[in-house]
Amino acid sequence: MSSGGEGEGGGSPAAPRNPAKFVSPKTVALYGILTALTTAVTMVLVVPFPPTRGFFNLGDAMVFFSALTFGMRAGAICGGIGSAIADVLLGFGYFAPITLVAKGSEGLVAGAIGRIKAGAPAAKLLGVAAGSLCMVSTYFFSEWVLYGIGPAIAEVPVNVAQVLIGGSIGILLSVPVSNLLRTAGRPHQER
Amino acid sequence: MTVFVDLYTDADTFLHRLDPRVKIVAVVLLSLLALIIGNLVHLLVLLAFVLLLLALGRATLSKTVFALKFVFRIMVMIVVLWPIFDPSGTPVLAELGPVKITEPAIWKGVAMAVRVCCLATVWYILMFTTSQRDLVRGLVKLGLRFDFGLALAIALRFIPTFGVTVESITDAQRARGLELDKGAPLRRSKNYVAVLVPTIVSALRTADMLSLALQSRAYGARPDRTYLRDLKMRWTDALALAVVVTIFAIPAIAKYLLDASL
Amino acid sequence: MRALEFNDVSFTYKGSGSKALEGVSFAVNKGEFITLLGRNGSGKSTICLMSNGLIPHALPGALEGAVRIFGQEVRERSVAEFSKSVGIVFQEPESQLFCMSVEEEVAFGPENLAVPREEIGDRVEWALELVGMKGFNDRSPFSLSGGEKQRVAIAAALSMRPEMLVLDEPAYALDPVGRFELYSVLKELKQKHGMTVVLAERDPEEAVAFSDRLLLLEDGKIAGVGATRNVLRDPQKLSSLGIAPPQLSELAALLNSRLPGESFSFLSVEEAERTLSEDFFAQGRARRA
Repeated sequence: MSSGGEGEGGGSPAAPRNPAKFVSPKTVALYGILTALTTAVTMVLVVPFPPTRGFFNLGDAMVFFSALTFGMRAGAICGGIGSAIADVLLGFGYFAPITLVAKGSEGLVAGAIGRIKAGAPAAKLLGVAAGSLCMVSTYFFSEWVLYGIGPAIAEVPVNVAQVLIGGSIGILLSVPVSNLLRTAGRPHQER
Repeated sequence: MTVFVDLYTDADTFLHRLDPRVKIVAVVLLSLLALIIGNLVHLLVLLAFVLLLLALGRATLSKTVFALKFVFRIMVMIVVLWPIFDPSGTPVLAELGPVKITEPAIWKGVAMAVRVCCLATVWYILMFTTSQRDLVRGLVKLGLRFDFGLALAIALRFIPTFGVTVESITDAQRARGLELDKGAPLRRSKNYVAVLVPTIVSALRTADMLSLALQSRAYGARPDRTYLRDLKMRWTDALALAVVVTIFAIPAIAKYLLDASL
Repeated sequence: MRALEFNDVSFTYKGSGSKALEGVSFAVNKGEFITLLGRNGSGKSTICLMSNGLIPHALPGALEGAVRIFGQEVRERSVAEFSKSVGIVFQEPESQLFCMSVEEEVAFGPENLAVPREEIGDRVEWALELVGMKGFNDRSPFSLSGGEKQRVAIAAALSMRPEMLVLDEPAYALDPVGRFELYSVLKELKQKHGMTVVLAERDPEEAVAFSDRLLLLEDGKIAGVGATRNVLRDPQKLSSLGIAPPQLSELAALLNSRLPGESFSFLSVEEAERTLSEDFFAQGRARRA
């Protein structure tokens, strides 16, 4: 299991030499995988939500999870790009740049605040709340410009419900996985 | 997966053969153009041009419908809601309390809807005619760092894999009686955690294995790595780029330098 | 110079309480095909991961003893440097292919080593031809079968022109067709190309036909080593180590116990067929005479 945190991999006395000054292989793999996971979850896990007869995807849960578990860089990059790819593949590609900013800032802020004091529950809640605010307001202002104030307002409750569900699942996910990463000592286990 | 994971359709049209860098630049410029011009007629001309390109790229009907179905809903919403929130202009057609419906606002709403349609459609010229591989290659050639491009390639490569993983774990948990479709929202969120934890654990294991595979194949061994395939601009690519830049530049210059209202 | 040399090697993964390897010594000669046999957790993977330096460079822990790869001490060179002489193939087909096409996958290693473009093209075609995947250049790894994925993984290792190939249970996740395709490639590597191969297996059924030697492992220690034919004479020992003996060696053991004076040993169906038919003809002639 990958060790948690922002860090470049390695840590052994003879860490892999990386003369090319590229990002460590561990980071490339982890970021690629988290991005793919965010996209896949956004596209596949859609939750029917009776009150508005709408559908919510659990993409935000993955953005918050990445941010709270692996830090703000992972949250911003994997959350932003993963969600933007999902937009393209789901048929609203023109929205991808906006989503990149909305979800990227969501992950960035949630990761920056949510990991204060080793990710204390209050920090996590505050991080998710602040991240959610970034996402909802980015979408609101972009839609205001693109669609006009009417549709922009209509979208707000939908996005709020989405971050409520996504945020709670994201927190619920980060706890067991963080613990798992801390306890799983042997990085490569034979099964 | 029930959704497209790759929008690319293999064909041999001039758009397919075009250098991906030119297509990326074209999409960015045409999107900006749609944002610059506000006149309904001009927007309709732009939309016609974009749709023509889509047709020249031999977009299949099913994919075109897919690309437009979501946008169509948004367009309807804009046309209906714009006049309600925009009281500017005369003549006033109807008045209901604070809400004023004016004729210019109706046309403005239609124009905004067409603009959104342009923005939405122009993307798919790129997505339908460029393989994901060429897309990443184009981005790297446009200056994206190799390692970032590799992470992006890994992401695109594993989206279908994880799509399948998520679906199979969902089915397995449903079969064990986990309710994912009904129940109180908080309770249901908890049930989704039971789907996502095994998915994430398996994905993180994949990430670890990938990192070993990357190292075993000399990732980062030399800064001067070579590439088997390279992109080369041909004269047709240069010509296409020139055409797109011209199409963008004329209205942009007219608007910002000559102060014409578009 | 040996291809691979373990000298009293012990290893404990960081954060683990028990030794994954304990006092392991063996050597692999150039051109030799050696198969490591053992159940889960016996140390096969650890040996594989040490054979190109992933242990201790990527997976840290306490390493004692000496591991030499073509004469180079494992601690003194990076994984990237060892990658020029050692190719590795892992167990799971899905999580070792990371490119968007087969061609990019096979070209990835030589590209990182800054091999000239024309030569990469040649190597890609050569490696794909060798594993029977010619013409699959533009296919996405996701669209391939398990057996095809593993053969692409082999090609991706071969394109770096290694002298030794290490495979960690490459057939584990494969269906019978995939297994057959994979072992055909390994056989060809051994017979036509004289490649040095280290293969880890928990099921020796197919691999014994072309393995020069077998190394038995239990709980991180060597439980036996010897020429394939000699090791297989004792199917009970394999069973006691949690390894299912090949059906042919069980057949041989059964015949030997029923027919006093015989000492059959079969490594392949062809061999069994030939030996047995010769034997029966001989007996028939003896009876007629």
